Amino acid sequence: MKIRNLITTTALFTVLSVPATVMAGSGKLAVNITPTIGKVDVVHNGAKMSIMRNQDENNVINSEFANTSRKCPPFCVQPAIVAPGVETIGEVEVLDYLKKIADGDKSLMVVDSRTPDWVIRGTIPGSVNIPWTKLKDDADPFEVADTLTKQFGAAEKGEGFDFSMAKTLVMFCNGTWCGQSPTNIKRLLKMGYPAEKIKWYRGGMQDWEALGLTTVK
Amino acid sequence: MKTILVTSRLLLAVTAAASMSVIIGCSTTGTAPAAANAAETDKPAELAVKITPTISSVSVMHNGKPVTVMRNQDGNNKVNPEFAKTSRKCPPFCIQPFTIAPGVETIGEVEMVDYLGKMGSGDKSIIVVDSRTPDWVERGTIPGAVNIPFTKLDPDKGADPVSIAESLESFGAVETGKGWDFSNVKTIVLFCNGQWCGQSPISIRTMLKQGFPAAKIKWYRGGMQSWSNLGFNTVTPEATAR
Repeated sequence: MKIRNLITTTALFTVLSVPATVMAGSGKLAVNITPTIGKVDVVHNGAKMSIMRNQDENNVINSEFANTSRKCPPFCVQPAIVAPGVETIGEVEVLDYLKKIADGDKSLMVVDSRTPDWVIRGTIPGSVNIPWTKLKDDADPFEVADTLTKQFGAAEKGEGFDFSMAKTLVMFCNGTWCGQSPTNIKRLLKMGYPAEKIKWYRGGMQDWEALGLTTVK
Repeated sequence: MKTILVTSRLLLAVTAAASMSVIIGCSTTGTAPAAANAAETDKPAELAVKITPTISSVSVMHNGKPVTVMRNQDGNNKVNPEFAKTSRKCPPFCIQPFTIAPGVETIGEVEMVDYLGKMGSGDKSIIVVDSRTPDWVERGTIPGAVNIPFTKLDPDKGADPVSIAESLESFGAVETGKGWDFSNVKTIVLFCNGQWCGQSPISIRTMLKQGFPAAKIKWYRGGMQSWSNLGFNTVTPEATAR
């Protein structure tokens, strides 16, 4: 626990100690992410872009995410913790992972678990779309194996998988009221994916949009 | 075992509350009427917009009156305009980290509702604290919360020793003459305006500095922002005083 905190602290410190890249090209922003982070540069589908917050103080949330009352079930409020050992994270931590990916860390992947019809309306820059349907319990086993080996870095081993080289996944979907990434996380755990290699951004697109953070279509 | 107890308690609350809940619908502000007499209800009415698949609502006392905690039932309802804003200046309204301090658990709405349900069932070992200044609280807070502004806990924000001592005593701490005894403190659940709000984090850091045990502090990071995004009802001081 202490070690994990230390690692997180070190990781955040790394972000803070390279203001040249973090603040690249930015003038003085009024609406920063944290007191010391204005922008984070990422790579989305091979193209460089920056994540920052909307700078118009009168801006209101994307109307898609202004709805408060989707039916539950299925759109129920998710618990703070999805499964034992799976760390729940927020925006600052997601941005830290995105920064590391942009800096060349191949052991990390930020996964948008939503179906493509949602993703085309906007996602987190630097994320990769792997719809939850590709990993759900009744998904084609060959397709599941493909995702695990070709995208997540697992290796086939006998009847199962070897996850020793698997990537650390940061999973998200539409947020506090969305069960898609939680469903995938539970399935991955069942298949043996190590819990400490899965992070859950529970706030998802709901909180990302509520904070005016950059999305990409 | 603990889970079963909690569930049955919540079920009781739902049974008591649900018959009225459907009739009244719900607005994002204002008080939901008192829970109906449980005897009138054979089985809990089904809400379309529940909290979780098994929890429709819970009942909690706010300023001495019972309030039903539930989500807005209008499928077209939009977030309270106060919380539709995306771009408050940072600093000071910066995005908070997910964890505020080692040992302090970050919780969400499901856990908050569970604490409220326990309080509604008579559990006196929990206090939910709205850390915001009163001008914010007037616009609506979480039913069951007491307002202890962060300015009353933090000496750096001008809190005097008397008001700090009063707050700590209300949390179950005992002044011994040699300092504070925190061995019998309550579980304190703190929140403010959410991800972009630093007020409850300040209160938590102050409490930790005084020696308050981290394990007895819970932080609802989503705060009023997430509470409003999910259409949970709120209460205003005027509404409950009426």
